[in-house]
Amino acid sequence: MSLDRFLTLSVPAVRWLLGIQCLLSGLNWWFKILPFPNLFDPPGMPVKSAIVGVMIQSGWMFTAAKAVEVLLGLSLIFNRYVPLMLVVSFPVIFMTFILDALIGPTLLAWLQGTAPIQHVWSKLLDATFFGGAVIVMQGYLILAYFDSYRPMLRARAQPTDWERQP
Amino acid sequence: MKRKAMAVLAAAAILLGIASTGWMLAVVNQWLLPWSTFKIFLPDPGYLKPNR
Repeated sequence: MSLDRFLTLSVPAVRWLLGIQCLLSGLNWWFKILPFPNLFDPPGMPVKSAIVGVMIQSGWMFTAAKAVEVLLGLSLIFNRYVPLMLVVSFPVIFMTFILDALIGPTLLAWLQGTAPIQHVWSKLLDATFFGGAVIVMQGYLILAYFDSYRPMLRARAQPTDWERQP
Repeated sequence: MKRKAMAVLAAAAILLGIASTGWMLAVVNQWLLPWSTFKIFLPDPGYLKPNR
């Protein structure tokens, strides 16, 4: 397979991979299908980080993030408004990445002897397979659709000229 | 050069995507894998208990 053919085929492949992942992760908030936090979990269930706990307690923030995930999943799977949804969902995906990628405190705890090496290993796997995977897939798709963003990248953009509109 | 960099990124995206999305599909309602496999990512037994 030529490089160009691989690049052409990789876009729908990554669209589907990220789309299915976001759709499942988002739907899990309303329908418990994964071992992740759910709207109907008893209060006080352990969560990955304090930030996720606060987002859930706010009553709307985590729901909004999950709604964006569902919309991104549908957009990627059905190939509708993909460049728009990649940008709209970027803060949510970046937050997911940051939550999983911040392994500094775990590394520090391990160096100080207060955390076992298994904990460091699990954090590294988490950072790679969840946070790392979503940001690499999102980043690749944004670059693949980069031509769609070119009109947005003008330093001095002009608003609609109403005087010249018919 | 740009094509090669994109191909490397595409390969990484596909490999990581198959690994993470594959695991996620397999644990939907504990279809192919039990939720306890999440332990490798988060060693916290309280997190893994199904609620319903």
